[in-house]
Amino acid sequence: MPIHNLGYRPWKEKLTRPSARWRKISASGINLAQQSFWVKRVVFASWLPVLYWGLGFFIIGQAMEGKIQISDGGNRSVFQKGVDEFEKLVHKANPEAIPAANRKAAAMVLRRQFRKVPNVEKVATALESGDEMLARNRVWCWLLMTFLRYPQGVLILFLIGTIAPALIARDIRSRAFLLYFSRPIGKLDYLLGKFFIPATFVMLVTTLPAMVLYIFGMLMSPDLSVFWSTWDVPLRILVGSAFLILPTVSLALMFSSLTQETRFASFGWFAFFTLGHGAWLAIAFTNAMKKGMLGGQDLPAVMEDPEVKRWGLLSLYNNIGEAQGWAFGFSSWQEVMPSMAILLVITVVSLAITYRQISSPLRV
Amino acid sequence: MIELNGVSKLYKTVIGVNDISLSLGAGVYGLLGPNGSGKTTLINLILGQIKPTLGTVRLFGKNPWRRSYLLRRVGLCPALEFSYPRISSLQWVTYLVQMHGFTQHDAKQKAIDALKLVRLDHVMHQPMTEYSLGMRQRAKIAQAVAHDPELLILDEPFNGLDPVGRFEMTALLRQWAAEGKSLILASHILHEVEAVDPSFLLIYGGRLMASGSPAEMRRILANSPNTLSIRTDDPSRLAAYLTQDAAIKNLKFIGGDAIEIETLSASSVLEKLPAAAAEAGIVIKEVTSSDESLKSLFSTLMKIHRGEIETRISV
Amino acid sequence: MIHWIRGAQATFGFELRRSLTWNRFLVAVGLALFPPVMLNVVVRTAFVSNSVIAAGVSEYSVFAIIFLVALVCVLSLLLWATPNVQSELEGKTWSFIAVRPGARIASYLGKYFLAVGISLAVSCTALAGCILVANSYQGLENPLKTLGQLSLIYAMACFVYAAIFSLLGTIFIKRAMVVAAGFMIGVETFLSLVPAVVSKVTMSYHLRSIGLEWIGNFLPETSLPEYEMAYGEPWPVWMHMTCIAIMTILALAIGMIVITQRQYVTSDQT
Repeated sequence: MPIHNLGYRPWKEKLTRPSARWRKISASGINLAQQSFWVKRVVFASWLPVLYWGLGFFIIGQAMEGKIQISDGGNRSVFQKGVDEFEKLVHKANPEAIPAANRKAAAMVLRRQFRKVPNVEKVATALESGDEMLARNRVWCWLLMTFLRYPQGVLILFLIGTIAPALIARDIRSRAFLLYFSRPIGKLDYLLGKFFIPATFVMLVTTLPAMVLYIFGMLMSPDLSVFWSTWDVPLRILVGSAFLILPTVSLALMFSSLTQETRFASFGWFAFFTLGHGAWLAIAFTNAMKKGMLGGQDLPAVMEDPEVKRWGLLSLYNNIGEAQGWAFGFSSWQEVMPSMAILLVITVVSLAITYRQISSPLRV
Repeated sequence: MIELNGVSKLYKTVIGVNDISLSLGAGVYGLLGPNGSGKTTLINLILGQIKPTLGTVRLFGKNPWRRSYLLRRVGLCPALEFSYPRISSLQWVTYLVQMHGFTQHDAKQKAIDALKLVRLDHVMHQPMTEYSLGMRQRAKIAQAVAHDPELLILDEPFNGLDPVGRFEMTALLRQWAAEGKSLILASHILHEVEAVDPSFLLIYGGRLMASGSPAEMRRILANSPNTLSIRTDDPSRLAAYLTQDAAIKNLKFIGGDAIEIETLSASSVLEKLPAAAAEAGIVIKEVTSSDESLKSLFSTLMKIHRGEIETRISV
Repeated sequence: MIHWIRGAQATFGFELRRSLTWNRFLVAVGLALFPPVMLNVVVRTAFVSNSVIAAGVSEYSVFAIIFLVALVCVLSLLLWATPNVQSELEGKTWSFIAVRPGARIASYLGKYFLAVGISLAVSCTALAGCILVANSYQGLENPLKTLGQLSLIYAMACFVYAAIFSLLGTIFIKRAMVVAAGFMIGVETFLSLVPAVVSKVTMSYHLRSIGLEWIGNFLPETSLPEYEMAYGEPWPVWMHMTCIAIMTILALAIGMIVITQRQYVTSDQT
């Protein structure tokens, strides 16, 4: 009677690809992070601005098709003469000119209500031009850029600050390294796996809602031909999100790898953002006060001041904003090259330091 | 000294301890149970670190929750592995003694005495991150005894100790007990706890399964299912003699000179061996038991509680 | 009470000893040097052109000084005050402390005073550096008086914010620093500028008002109505200080209640 060997038998079937290893590290980290009370709530809160921006897409889309009429929103005396007379003429003589009137009014509203927001002048100019395709593309890009920059750009500060500090620090403290590296898992697999944990959550609150807004804009459009004027927008969203994710997640992982205590990693993360942006704010405000510009109307002029702009390189938030400005077509490459260089340096140096830290010999 | 009355503790839906009632006077107790059985939860309840979901806890006659002054009389050595970079054991133990209200000078002296007791005085100025596992364990013992408590509670104190360390630890604990002080020793290893000759508290699945003296525990063990290996000059005759006993579940021959018996009650088999030797003239060379252990003990207790084995259960 | 004081002293000494490392010293020095260095940049950017120093340095630099030092003060408090319980749970040392009589409160107070001490040292050093820098460009009217007044304001800020952060640290064990950062941005920055009763609940409103009273309007004449409305009707300085003191004591008291009431469980998840 044959005796079966029931002892250890090596696996003879096919093993999964090496990429499955870092994906598994990411999946388990994501699963752990999403169990957190706070992470769930921050992610939920991060989707609330989508409602506001979605409304913007809807109103502008409908206005451009003449379905609704944009008023100046107050202070009618400012352009009462010009717009009212213009409207009388176009409504009576040419109903198809309503969209054009709307675009002019919308441009004025944008200039007044959003004067502090970068690139608003470029959007207003595009609106006033006769080119509807250009106008739609610029407006959509501007909406999505401001979405990624303002609400989401601030929220990811807290999201990454909640998730990232413990990722590597905890493994160092608990010697979980030994569990990873006693298996056929390379340091690059480990790094990639850890990188995609906060990156996934950031994509969940930036890339995904931006894509949802784009699709919403398409659905609110009169027909699918709108695609031909906005086909580049999804690509710009991906690039803009990449500029947001790469330096921030790399930086947060670096801080996590430098310490066993998560409080120091959290501190490093917040300090880097706060000190850089705070320094730039101090310079910008002092310049603005000195030039008597704090009435608000000339604040963009302060921001565009070459001296102030130069020091904007101190702020990671500003650098990301500049890069996103290029991604969405509002800035030229020459204008944003210094910011891009800084983001690249931050990303490369952070990843290099993190790699070095996880390669160091460990005390057992 | 310690009284628990119908105490249960739930961590959301997880039961930490389940309806435990006990009353412990001064003395030495071994709190035995496998990992996850509720030993640490029970200790935290006794020390007022957590509140019971149901029932009442009394330490020295008072509810320990929010009465931290009671802890002046208690020393705890938790099972947790900790780390304090750049801090020496002397600095650490001094700090913890100071937290009892001693002045710095007195605290330092007590810390030195405690570290001498656990034989760490030669390294007490070195950072604890340079210590071995056993040395860190001894530092933990030092901080537990430095303020001279009446009751010492040790959670897995033998973790990480080498045989010499275990021997020294046992001697220390015996000395402690001999001085008339109380001790609760929590562990999942029976023979470690046995060494200090305690009364036993057996906890499993959050329930207090049994409690009693070492002799009573041995009796339970003796009556629990067991596998005996008996080396003899005539295995066949011994096997024939013993199979008349209904307590034998299984019997097999090992080599040419031994038999292995699976029995429902080791004591009933062991009682027959002298008779076998005397009446049948069989020479018994060696008797060993392969699983005289906590696992067997708890297995028996569970069967008793489920009614699979009939015995008297005291309520 | 004596027990708590002795225990707090012991905790203060132990934690200070634990913190005396080159890394942490460099972090403290870096934080203290950041405001004077950045003030130098601010002044050179706004006021210096072709080696000529324009007028108004002393007038405009006070705002920058206050803002920059506030940044490092808050960051220092975030680092030292918020993780009072989290650091013990994470290091699995909570059990050793909690089984000492009165040790929860003693440890809480000891760490609070350490956070105040270190943050105050960083803030005062930064202030001194900033005053030196500002004075080197254009002589301040009374630099020592300005330094003294600002130091006192930052001392009050350290005491009250350390108390609030310590309280947050006892409630939000795992995410204390994130919650505290959110509190500073949401409540102490934005809410304090709302021209309504709600701003008077915030500590930055009271600190700003004391600064306004002592230093004068450190924001120059502006046309922004929000700034005027943000200050509201002036109260006497002692009333603002009383509010700050009440909040400090209240936050500390609630923190002590929370830390004695909560059942902190040391597990591998912390």
